[in-house]
Formats: sequence, C-alpha cells, structure tokens
Amino acid sequence: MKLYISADNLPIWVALACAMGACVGYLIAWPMRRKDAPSSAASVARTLYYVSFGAILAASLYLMQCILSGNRFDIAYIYYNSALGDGLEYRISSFWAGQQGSLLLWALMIGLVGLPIARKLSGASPVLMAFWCSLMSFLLVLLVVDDPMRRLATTQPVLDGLGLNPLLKNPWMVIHPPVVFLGYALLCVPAAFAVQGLIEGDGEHWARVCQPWALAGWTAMTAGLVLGMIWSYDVLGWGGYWGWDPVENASLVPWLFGTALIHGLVFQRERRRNATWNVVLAFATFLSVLYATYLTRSGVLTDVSVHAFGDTSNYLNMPIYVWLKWTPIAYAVIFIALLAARSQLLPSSKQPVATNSREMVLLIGLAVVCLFAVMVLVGTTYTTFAPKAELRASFYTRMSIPLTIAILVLIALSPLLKWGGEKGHWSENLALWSGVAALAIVAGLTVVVGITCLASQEAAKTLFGWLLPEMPPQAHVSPVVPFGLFLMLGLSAVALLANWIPMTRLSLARCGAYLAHAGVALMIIGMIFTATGRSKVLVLRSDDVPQRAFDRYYSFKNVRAGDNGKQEIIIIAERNGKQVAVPLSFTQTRDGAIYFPHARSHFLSDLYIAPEMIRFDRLTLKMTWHGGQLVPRPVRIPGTEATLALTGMTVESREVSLQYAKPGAKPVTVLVSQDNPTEVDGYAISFLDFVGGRAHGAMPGEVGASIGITGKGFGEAQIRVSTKPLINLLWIGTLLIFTGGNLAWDRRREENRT
Amino acid sequence: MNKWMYVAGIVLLAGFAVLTGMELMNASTPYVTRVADLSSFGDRQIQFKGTILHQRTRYHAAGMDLRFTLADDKGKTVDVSYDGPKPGNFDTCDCAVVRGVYRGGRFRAEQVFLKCPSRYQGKK
Repeated sequence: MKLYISADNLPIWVALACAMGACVGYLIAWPMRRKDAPSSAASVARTLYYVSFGAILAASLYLMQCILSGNRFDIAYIYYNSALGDGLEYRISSFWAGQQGSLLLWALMIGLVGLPIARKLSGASPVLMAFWCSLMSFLLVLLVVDDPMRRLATTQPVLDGLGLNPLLKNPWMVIHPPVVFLGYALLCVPAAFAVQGLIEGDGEHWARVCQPWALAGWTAMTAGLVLGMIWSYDVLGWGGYWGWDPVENASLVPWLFGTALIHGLVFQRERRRNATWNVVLAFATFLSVLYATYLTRSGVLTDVSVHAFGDTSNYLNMPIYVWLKWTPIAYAVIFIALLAARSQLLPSSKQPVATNSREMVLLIGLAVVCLFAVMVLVGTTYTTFAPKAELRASFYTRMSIPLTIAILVLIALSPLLKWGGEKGHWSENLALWSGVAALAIVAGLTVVVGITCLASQEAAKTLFGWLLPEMPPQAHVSPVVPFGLFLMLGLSAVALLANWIPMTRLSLARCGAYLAHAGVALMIIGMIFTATGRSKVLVLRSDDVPQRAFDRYYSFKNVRAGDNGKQEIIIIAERNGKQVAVPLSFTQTRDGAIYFPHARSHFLSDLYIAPEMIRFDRLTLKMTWHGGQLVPRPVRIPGTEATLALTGMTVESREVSLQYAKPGAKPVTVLVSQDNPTEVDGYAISFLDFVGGRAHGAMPGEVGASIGITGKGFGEAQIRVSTKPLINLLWIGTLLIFTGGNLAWDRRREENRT
Repeated sequence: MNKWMYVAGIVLLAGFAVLTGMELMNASTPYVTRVADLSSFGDRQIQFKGTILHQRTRYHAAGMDLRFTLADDKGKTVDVSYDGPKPGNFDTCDCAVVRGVYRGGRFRAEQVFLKCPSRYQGKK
C-alpha cells in the first residue's frame, strides 16, 4: 500500500495534520496553563482540534454521500461492501461494514467525544487534550495508510458492487457498530483524565470529573454488547447469544475493566480512597480498547475468529500491523512510567477498610471483576497467539462459574451494608440480617443438596429434573451440576430481592446501581434456564409425513421469494390441530448458502428454528429392499402419479437400475450412475449413495440406495428445533442493566454540575 | 486491612492462577498438521487441517452421514467420518478443518469447518 494524496482522501490527511498540530499545541500550552489569560497556544491548538474533527466529519459525509449516490463503485471499499440492490438502511450501514469504514467511524466518535472537553476544557487541562489528540492521530495514521477512498485497480467502469455481507443485513447490525465505537471512545476518556491527574498531581478532582464519562462509556458499551448478542441470536443460527469468540471477547474485556472502574470511582467519591487503583483501572480500560483494536483490525484473528473482518489477512506483513501492535505497547510504557514517577502524589489512606462495610464488598467485587477480565484476556490471547492449539469455549464457561458465584454474593450483600460499616437504623439492620440469613439458607440448602446428590444418583436425577424440566433425561447426572445450579439460582434470587426491595424507598435518580445489579441477577437466571433448552434435528421433505420435535409436528410446504433478495421456505408447525406457517429464509452466495434462523417468541420460552441445510427443486429419495429380498418397492414421486423402484445395484461401479412407471405408460428401466444424471420424463435422476449395512439412518436388514431427483416444487430442509426457556429474563436483565447505567450517569452528571 | 486479609488475597490469587492454567490446558485443542502425528494424541480432542479429496466424498443425506478424505501437505491421507449435515458449500471448498478425535485409524469429527475462497475477502 503506497501513501498518496488525492481529492478523495485529502480530508483525512488534513485531519491527521491538524490532530498532530493540536497535540503539539496543547503540549506547548500546558506549562502556561496557570496564567490567568488563556494562552494563545491553547487557542490555536483548540482551533486545530476543531479543524481536525471537521475534516473527519467531512471525510465521513463524503464517504456516505459516495455510498448513497450509487455511482462510486470505483472506490474499493464501496465496491466490496455495498450494492445498488441493498435497501437504504443497509447502504447506510455499509459505511461501517468493513475495516476502513469502521476505523473512520471510530475516529469520528473519538473526535466527537473530545469536542465538549476541548470546547469548555472544564476540569480538563491541555495535557489531557494532548493525550486525546495523540489517540486521534493514532487512528488517523491507520486511515491514511489504508484509506477508505482507495480506488479499485481497474480502468473499466464499475457499475455495481458486491453488496453488504448477507449476515450483516439485519436491523441490529445497522446500529451495533456505532454504539460500540461510541462506547470505546467514551471508555478512553477516563485514561485521559487519569494522565492529567498523575501529571498535575491531582488525585481527587480527575476522578470526580471523569465519573459521568466512565458511566456513559460503560452504558454505551453495555448497549453495544447486548445489540451484538441479539444479532448473534437472530442471525447466526447456532442458537446462542455469546460464543466466546475472540472478537466478542475483545469488546467484553474493556467492558469488564470499565465495570471495575465505575465501581472504583464510586468508592473514591464516597470514601476518598482507591485513587491509585482507579488510575490503574482507567489505564487498563484504555489499553484493552486499543488491544481490541489490534486484535480485530490487524488481521491476527483471520484464522481464529468466525467474524474477523475478512479483508485483514494481508495486514500481517505491513507497517499498519507494526503500528497497531506497538502503539498500545508505547502507551502502556508511558502509563507505567507515569505511575512509577507520580503515583506518590495520589492520595492514599492508611485507615483500614472495615470488614462489614460497603467499601469492603466493593473492593472485593472490583478484584473479582478484574479477575474476570484477566481470565477473558488470557483466554483470548491464548486463542490468538498459541501456535498449535485452539481454546474451546468450555474454558470460559467453567472459569465463569466461580467468578459469577462470587459476584452474585457481593451483589446481594452490597445494598445491605453501609459505607464505613456504620450501624444503621434497626429496620436497616433487619434488612441486613434477612439478606445474610437468605444467603446462609441458600448456602446451607446447597450443602444439603450437594451431599444428597453425592449420596444418591436417584436424588440427583430427581432434583435435576425438577430444576431443569426442559433438560432431556440423562443416563447419569454428575452431582456437581444440580449443586452448582441450585447455588447459582438461589444466589441470583437473593441478589435480585436484595437490590429490588431498597428501590421501593428511593427516588428513581438514586436507583441506578440497584437496578443494574438486579438486572445482572435476572440476566444470570435467564442464562441458566436458557442453557437447559432442548434441541432436535429434523429432516423435512416435500413428500414426507410431518416430523415431530417436542410438542409440535413440522412439515415442509414450499419455497418462495423473500425480502432483501433472500429466498424462503415455509415450514408448517402444527400443535393440537392448529397450524402456523414458519418462514425460514436463506440466501445463495458464491461461497454457498447462508441460512437464517427464526425465533418464535413466547413469554416463557422461545421456539428457535434454525435451518442447517435447504435444497429445493431437488429431493433425495431412499429406495430400499427389505430383509435381503430383492423385491422392488415403488416410491411415488411427490406431487405426481409416477413411481420409481429399485431393480438392481452394482456396488463396484456404483450404479443402480431403476424402473420408472406412470399410469397409462409402459414402465421404463434406466441405469443411473453417480457422475451422470439420467433424464427420465423431464426428471434428472442421479445415484447418491448406497443405503444399508452400517450407514446412518438405515433400518436393520435394509439395503438400497439414495437417489437424487430434480423437479419443480420439490424441496427438503434439515432444521434444528430448539427451546430457549426464559430467554426473555436474560433480555429484560440486560435492559435493566442498561437503564441502571443511564440513571447512574445522569445522577453523577447532575452532581458534578452542582 | 490486616495482614491476614492480604495473605488470604494472595492465596486466592494463586489459586485462581493455578485454576486458569489447568483449565487452559484442559480446554485447548491442539492443531495437528501431519497425518502421521494424529495417533500420538490418544483420546484427546484435536484439530486437523487438510485438503479435501472430493472424489472420495460420500454423503448419505437421509442419515446425515458424511464421509470424506483429507490429505496433509505430504500427501498422506486420513478418512474422516462426520455424523451431521454436509455443509452447504462443501463441494466448492478445497480445505477443511475437522475437530474431533482420531480413533481406530479414522478421524471422528464433531465439527467440520471449511476454508473457502471468500467473496467478502479483499482481493488486493
């Protein structure tokens, strides 16, 4: 990739030059900051910052205009991500569908978030803005090297593009990236304030000022992650919402460090301590955002992640990779040096933290959340860099269980304890003791359950069936499973109540933390139940009798054209004589078909139907002899009066002979081989494989062959039908967390104003 | 905080580190690139990447039984069986990564991933 300047990418160059200039300007302005008159260097720097942001905005608007105009497919980015046939919303979202566009979007968000800080500089010093401009320059360098306006290497006119990846043609994916990048940008702000706090030796003020920023970033990131989860559930068809994929984890780590940070900042605000840890947490959040950028944008994940951006594999040998890798390391070195040189200026307290105080719970919680983040970081890094191994998701699920149990206990205790371990009114003490008693009862019952399950397999099975009625009966139930589930469900219930009850006495503005904590408990209950859903695979054919999965019968109806260039098959689901048509859409790409699942939502459980294979205008017919007797059994061709019967097989040459019969016509015998389809009466018939012996799906004593036959209206689909019990609790929980974050953000913002 | 809390904290941290290490080992699936190395992993779950020899692929749609052969870069082959649907783009892909267990001279795949030339990959 050669550097170049053209009219198309000029704004990006201008933005970079101005951002670097602003960075230098702010650095010059910093020593003069204490003088009463605003320094001219600061105002020049501010102007440069505005120009830089304006140029990024111009570049973004220009790219969007080129996408929407529909006549700039000569630009490689637009060609690969957009097409005339895509709907307006998907042409808009093609802006952030690929590597360069999403980097531009992120630079735009960074510029936008820095705007109010630059404008007022309230509570912010020039050194903060210098840091911010360095971050902006880091992104702009990437955009200059690999810019979104690069032309295709062709002289031919390019009239249309390849279009948006069909998996991204989903309303959630239109808004997911902007929300995530807004979250990233906001979560970088605390580090900028922390740098200022360290350099200027102000350990208190920075934490107070950046608290609303941290909460806003955390809330946006929560929304971004949840939108990604909904998309995964709605589109990917594997039936889950979180796959522990490195790209997902890359966003989870900053969220977890951000979670620790917002708690640490509350601690500092209320008790004037924890300053050093908060600086460390702000830096960890910032560095994990940059690490996420490195993982998702540098191409290192191309081979390990299902949704790494496809066009990054060629980055590994380029300067851009070096830039992405070494910039975070450079920031880390600066942070460590700053901490080493200046941390003694941060306030610290020698006063011990009271054991029965809210701050003790907060402190332990902070440590547990950090361990969670470290665990995800270690797993993701191992997946990415371990040369000869891949990490299964079971690593994360197993490691999450003890951490989640600890988090639930802490969430249950925190509303019951007071700052400084003060003794409260008797009613508050009563609440505390009821909460502790509830936790003790859960713990006691769990021990009893554990011992009972260990002693008797029968008891383990009964309890397992009682806790998880959806789960299929198992031959053996490990005692650990009901034990762990019972504990988690019990703790979640106590945590939910302990946080819900105090909200009845509080004004809405002060409910943020309680609401978010109740949401976490509810989400975990939803996750546990959803994990117990059942699943069954059915193969449906247009000629076949309906197939049963759980309480419904399913049959294949027809194929039809769907929305957005997709096709649909219609499955009929029948229960108690009531039929419901379920459309399952799919789309053909050059790489093969992409199938989309369909979730039928009921309050208590989702019915999730995911196609795994769809064929239409073609059928597979199984033609068999039974009991070793060579008696042909005619099979009717669906929708016709004609029949086919197997009359002979030659194993060596992989050929079969078939008799085709139709009323009023003389039967015809044809030889069908694997490689050449044989044409009979307008049908193309081909031999697929032998049936019988140890072949899957063969009845005992059955021998024969499977035959492929093409014809209009034929179809077959393999679908996976799953139940997702109480998945709505999970979604409601995430909504409560998001609302809680918003309330907390609003409250701290108001407090900082006064 | 008294020193016992620090001690408890350090012990818990050390325990967490040990647990992480153990789980990391338990949950990791080694990549194997040579057919000759397949048998050295016993019953452990492994991943093998090879070139699909398409002419030797057999698929029984009704029973969802896929059998195919993969070759390593030395040309040595291994037979793979997979109880599941044939992926939609199987016939157009050259390479497959299979995850499963190698037992009795046959690779029993639990998952099949295909490596196909993608339309959505840059062609710079």
